[in-house]
Amino acid sequence: MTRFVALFAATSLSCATPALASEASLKAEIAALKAQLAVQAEQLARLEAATKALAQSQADTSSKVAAIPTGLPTEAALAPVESAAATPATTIGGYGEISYNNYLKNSSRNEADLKRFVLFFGHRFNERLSFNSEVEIEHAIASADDPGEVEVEQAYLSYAFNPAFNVKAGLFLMPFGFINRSHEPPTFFGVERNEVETRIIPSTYREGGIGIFGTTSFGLSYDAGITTGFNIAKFDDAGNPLGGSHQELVLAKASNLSVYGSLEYRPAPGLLIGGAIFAGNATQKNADFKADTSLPDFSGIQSRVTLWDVHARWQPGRFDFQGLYARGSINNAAALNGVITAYNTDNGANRPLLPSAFYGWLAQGAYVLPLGNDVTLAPFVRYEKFNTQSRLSAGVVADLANRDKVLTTGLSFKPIPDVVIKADYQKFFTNSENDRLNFGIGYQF
Amino acid sequence: MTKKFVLLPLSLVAIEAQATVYMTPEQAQSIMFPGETLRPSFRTLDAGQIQAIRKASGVSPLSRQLKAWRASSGGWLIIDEVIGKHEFITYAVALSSTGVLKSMEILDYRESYGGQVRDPRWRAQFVGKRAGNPLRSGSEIKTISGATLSSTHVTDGVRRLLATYAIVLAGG
Repeated sequence: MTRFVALFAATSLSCATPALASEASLKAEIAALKAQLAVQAEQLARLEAATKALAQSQADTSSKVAAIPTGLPTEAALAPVESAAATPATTIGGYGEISYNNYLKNSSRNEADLKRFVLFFGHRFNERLSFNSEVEIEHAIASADDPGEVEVEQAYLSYAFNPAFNVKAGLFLMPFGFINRSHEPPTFFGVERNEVETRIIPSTYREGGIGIFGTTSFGLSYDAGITTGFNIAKFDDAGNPLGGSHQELVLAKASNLSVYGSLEYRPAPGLLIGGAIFAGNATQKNADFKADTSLPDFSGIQSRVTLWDVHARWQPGRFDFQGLYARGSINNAAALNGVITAYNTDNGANRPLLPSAFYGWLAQGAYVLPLGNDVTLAPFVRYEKFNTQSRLSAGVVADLANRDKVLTTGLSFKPIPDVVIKADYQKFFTNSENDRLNFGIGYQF
Repeated sequence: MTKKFVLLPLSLVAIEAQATVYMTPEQAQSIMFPGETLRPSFRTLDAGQIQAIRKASGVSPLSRQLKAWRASSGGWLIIDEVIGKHEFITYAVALSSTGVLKSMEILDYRESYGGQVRDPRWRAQFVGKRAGNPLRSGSEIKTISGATLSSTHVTDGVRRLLATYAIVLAGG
């Protein structure tokens, strides 16, 4: 074709020259080309016919084969089992919750909040490699004048060698307790996340790093790896020791990395026991002071932060029982507090002092009452105890606000399993000014 | 960290991707109907059947194609899919000639987490169930803590297949 066009162009150019003798030879050449084209067209037609015949005989063969009753299904019979083709490469999910707190002793504290609006984005690159992420907006609006936050809570790549061995890299959730990994509102009881899994296990607790994880067919799951750790210089709340100092992969100081590991075992359906530990140095080579010398100088002090938990869940029949114990410690708190105290005196500052240890535990029971179809009503009761200053270095005074025993009782109504309407009453035995009624709605998809 | 993060996926892409399939349909057949001959008996569900299945089980079929095989003993093998949390789970049920569930196997599970539905002790809860039996996650079948959606959706799927057998296959 190209040749033909080139020839034609050459012809039109040569026409400009008064060479009549070449016209005859050109006509002859065109005639030869026409003949060639005709031959080729005929060849094409013959090829097409042959292909059709082949396809027909193939179809006949496969239909004959499909009709043969063999133990092994034929390719044609199995063709519809194509989950790979059916699986969307990109998945979107999400959850959200809206709450209303009614404080019984001081109604000026009453509050309604769009707590969380969350979107999951996942993408499967191939059968083994996938990406998972979770983007969260807290308190409806994040701007210079609003207290809301926009957070990427998870963003990691995961590679599956087999079910018992997977590798992940990126920002991912730490495998502690119950709520840290499944915090969709329909999956937990009570409008508010429990105190232990908020103050002792910082919620939502995630780190950046590399991990291996998997589940065996006999009910054992594991998750372990190396990640970024805590930064003691960011400690800002004695009532939530690790809440401020976990770095959330925001330009995380990474001169000290940490290790984590968890094991969970399901000996029988409805029974789960598990535990996790996280440990690593948290002074980060005094990085914050080196970047800004107006901050406390922790040079020469090493401090390891350790957090561990054990948890169990038993679901006999329609009952659902959960128990959890979590404990954390900060090494060398006395030396760190010496620096902070001197800093506060010199600068008229009021930086909080660190606890040496903090702990909490909870026990919870629920009964899931089916109301036909997928509608359920679940009354629950939870008792928990926490103390974020259970062990203090000399000269540090505990604040009663940082310890409590809390009784929570209420209802979860689910019109469908993915939507929940919640109501509960919380009694705080030590800080009774916090007694409140909570109402909330939540969803996941 | 950054380097590792970038290099890891690149080096892994080089490995030839294969399906994370625990079991091919052929393997499922030989495990669930050992020594038996299976003949494909695929059906396309019509609107009336879909409605009847939804009414009986409370769940709509994801696909109009019913992938069923008839065993020489008169039993049935059905391969089906449900969505776990975000991804498909492929599973198979073996029914006796009278529609009683003999076994259930997970063929393919793609999510990173929640693979506990493969636990044989969890799957054993389905054995002996038939169409019309109450079969709900959280009552007859225990929900798996941490894999709520996967275990609920597989339970719903099995209930739907038992109803499908009664409505579509029981006649032969």
